[in-house]
Amino acid sequence: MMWLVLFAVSCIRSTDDYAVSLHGGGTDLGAIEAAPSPMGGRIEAARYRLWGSNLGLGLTGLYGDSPRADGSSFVAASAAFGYPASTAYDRVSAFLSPGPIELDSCVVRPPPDVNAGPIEMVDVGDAVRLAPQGQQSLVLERDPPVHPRPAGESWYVGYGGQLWPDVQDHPLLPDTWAPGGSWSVTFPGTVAPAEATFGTVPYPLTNGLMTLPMELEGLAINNASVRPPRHGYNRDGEWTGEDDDVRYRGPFTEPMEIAWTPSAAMGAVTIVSHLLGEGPEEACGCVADCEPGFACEDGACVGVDGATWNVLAEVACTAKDDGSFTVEPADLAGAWTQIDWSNLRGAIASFARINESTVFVPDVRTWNGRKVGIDPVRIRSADIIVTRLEVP
Amino acid sequence: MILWLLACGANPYPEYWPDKSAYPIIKQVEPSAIETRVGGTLVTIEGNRLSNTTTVTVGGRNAEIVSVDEHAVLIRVPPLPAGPEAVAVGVVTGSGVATRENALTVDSELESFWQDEAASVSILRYDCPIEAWGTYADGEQYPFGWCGPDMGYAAAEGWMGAGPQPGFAADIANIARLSEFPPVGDTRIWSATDPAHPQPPLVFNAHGEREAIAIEAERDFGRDLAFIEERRELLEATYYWADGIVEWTGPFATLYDDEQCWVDELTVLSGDGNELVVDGDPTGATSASLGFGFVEDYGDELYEDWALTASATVRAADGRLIGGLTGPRLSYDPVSGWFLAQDGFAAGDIPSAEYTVTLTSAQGEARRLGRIDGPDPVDLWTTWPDLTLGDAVIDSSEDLVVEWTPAAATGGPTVFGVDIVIYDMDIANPNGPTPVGRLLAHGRDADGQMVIPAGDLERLPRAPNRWSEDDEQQGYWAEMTIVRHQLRRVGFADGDVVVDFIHAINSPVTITGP
Repeated sequence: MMWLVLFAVSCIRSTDDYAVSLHGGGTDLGAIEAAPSPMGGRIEAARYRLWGSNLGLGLTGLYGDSPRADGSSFVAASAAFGYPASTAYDRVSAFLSPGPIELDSCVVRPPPDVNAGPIEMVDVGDAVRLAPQGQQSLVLERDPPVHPRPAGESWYVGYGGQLWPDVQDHPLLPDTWAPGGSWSVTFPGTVAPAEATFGTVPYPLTNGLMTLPMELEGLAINNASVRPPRHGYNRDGEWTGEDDDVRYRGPFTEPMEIAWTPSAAMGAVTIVSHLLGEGPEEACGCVADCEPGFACEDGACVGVDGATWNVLAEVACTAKDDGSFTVEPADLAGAWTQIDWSNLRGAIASFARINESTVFVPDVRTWNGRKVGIDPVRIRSADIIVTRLEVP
Repeated sequence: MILWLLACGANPYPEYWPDKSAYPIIKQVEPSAIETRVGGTLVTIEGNRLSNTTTVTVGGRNAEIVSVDEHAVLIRVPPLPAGPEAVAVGVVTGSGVATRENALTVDSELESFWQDEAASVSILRYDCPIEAWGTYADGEQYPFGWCGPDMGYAAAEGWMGAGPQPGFAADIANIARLSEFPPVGDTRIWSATDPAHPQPPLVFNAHGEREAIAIEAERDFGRDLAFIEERRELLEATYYWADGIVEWTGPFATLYDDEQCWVDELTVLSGDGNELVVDGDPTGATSASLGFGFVEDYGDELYEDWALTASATVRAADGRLIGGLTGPRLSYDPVSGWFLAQDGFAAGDIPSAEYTVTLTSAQGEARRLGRIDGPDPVDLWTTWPDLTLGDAVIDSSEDLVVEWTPAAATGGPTVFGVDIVIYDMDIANPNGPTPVGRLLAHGRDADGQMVIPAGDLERLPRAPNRWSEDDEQQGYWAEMTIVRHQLRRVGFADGDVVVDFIHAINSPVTITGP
């Protein structure tokens, strides 16, 4: 009887059509993100240009933000392999994940998590090499260099985990970046010790290919050119006084108008605004103990503009590569449901051309001698300019 | 039930190579012993079914395959990191895999010495000139600040991982690592594109926060004061602007309390044994930095500077300071997993003396393991080239003769080497200066002399060592390091504590040539 009463009461509930949408992304999930594919690894390279004030290396995930590295340019690369295949290898980048699939749209995302999930790691040999055909360029050494024996469950495998200088046209050193060029992707394969707890690819990969994106040029925000900050000296070596401050109005209260030189290929440009929280670095007794751009708070140096390694949320946009795009304050609306404004210490923006492809690699031999296919493996390259945004 | 049992018997993954009768067989490796870990040696893997070999590993590193047939694979041994003296060789063919454990041995006096190494300690004394010379755009050569009046520093660290770690003590300081060394009398050259020698595979092991490794000697303030005088003489002899020094001050002791706060700076009147007499009240001091000062006349102003040479834990007694032991006490750092030395560790803290090795347990119980001989540092006054002046020039068209005074004979191996690295200072590199060439030469310490052939030097890029208008390094710069490793060991429950006393003398050097 009670059930009947409840049923009858529910019938008198007023009904209507409600505008339900995902955070900042419309109602069609397929338009926001492409369905991820399970993959057996990812091989990535990115050229960073830190063109804004108070930018450190924390955004690479390899170092802290102190000392600051604004104005610098460098290349980062990494590779990881595992089985069974994981959609994380497809979707998530160790550097900058692509934006939504729909051109000229934005989506709010939680802090990036580069972990691939519950997989068994795979060793593919001493190093993954990225290079023009027949030459040497980036050598992503395996960490560890050898598997110490005995070490049992503590064994792991990773590739890269370092930064390279941005070298081009050097008389002795190979290019570490070549806009628009193609690099071969190879690894030698390996044999694991008998007690290994991970898989191996026993055969070499010889035919991988990574195409580097064209250089992102002519970038401007609100009609102001994005440029590296000057550090006290002009081109003639004369001291100009204090370092100048390079930062741009972010899309917090007014639209952020972005312009760049469009590419002939008319692909896409990824624009990601990262909302940063606080991040303590080295210990301090007073502000004099900290690097420029840091304050001493509660015994630790803290970046006055937030920590680039502590992303609270990010707003990722995909813009048609036609030379202009505007990020509206409304595009950030979803972020404020995820984070508390009072926790926001700063913001940065990344602008990137990203190329993606896949490569088919030899099957994995599991720790107990079985065969597992891990095809395909994601290949991704990105040319990224990072700058500082003003936070009201 | 039947279906369940069938499911248990099935495996979703097939055997990688199901036909075990087709697997390769490794019978032996010829030669079965090599002299060093630098790589490059040709060895032959002998066996059966070796056709179609695609992958070979030696000690876990990929080897270059030179030739393959049914019964033999000729390979070039890869550079090997510090590790066990016997390593496995693995082969993959199109039909299977084979591994032969302990197939290849690195056979040398050093490998035998550290085969039971389970705790590794590196103690470095690093000397460098107060100034370095370079050339400005107008062609004039001038010195500019390099290491400052301290003219060097000291560092120490230890690693006690979860497994065997032979050879690690000689590698963890990253100063001319012994796993990189070619055979005695040889040189090894890296071009700009050659990969660096692999690092030792450190395996993290959790320790208690009270655990420590101490390598300590009796305090002798008389010896510390003699070292201060030696450094003062070195500064006077090598500092280009020494004529402008109008006054020498000290020796002094800068005193700190147990919170590392400054207490006072007092002039040292005398020192003997563990007693230091100062010209003031040292009450409250728990540590001290020792050194000297000097006043320079810049014409329009006087400028005072200081040099720190040693440190000491102290306590005040009857108006005097009583010093604690000298040498590093390495405390476990739970964040990094390393055993790290105290702050303020200086060149004078590693005297030639007998040291006691002590392990402190997680419960705080100290256990003395034994005594070891301290280092016999390279004599700065008799070594050639003289790197203390910061103006050495290497003419790559001539043989480079390096001379030194041999170390006194001790129970452990002594290794002498020369390391020359050329950097391109114009490259903005987040990792530091970018190397574009390197030469490492291995001499026999007892010989007191080694010759680096001109033919090897000519393979290095020239290094003109230029200053920019802003006194910053510009273009190619070379640095030369003369290094002596002296290894010691003492046993404990898990194996040996191996200590590598390293003395390095480093300076920029100009490399000229045709």
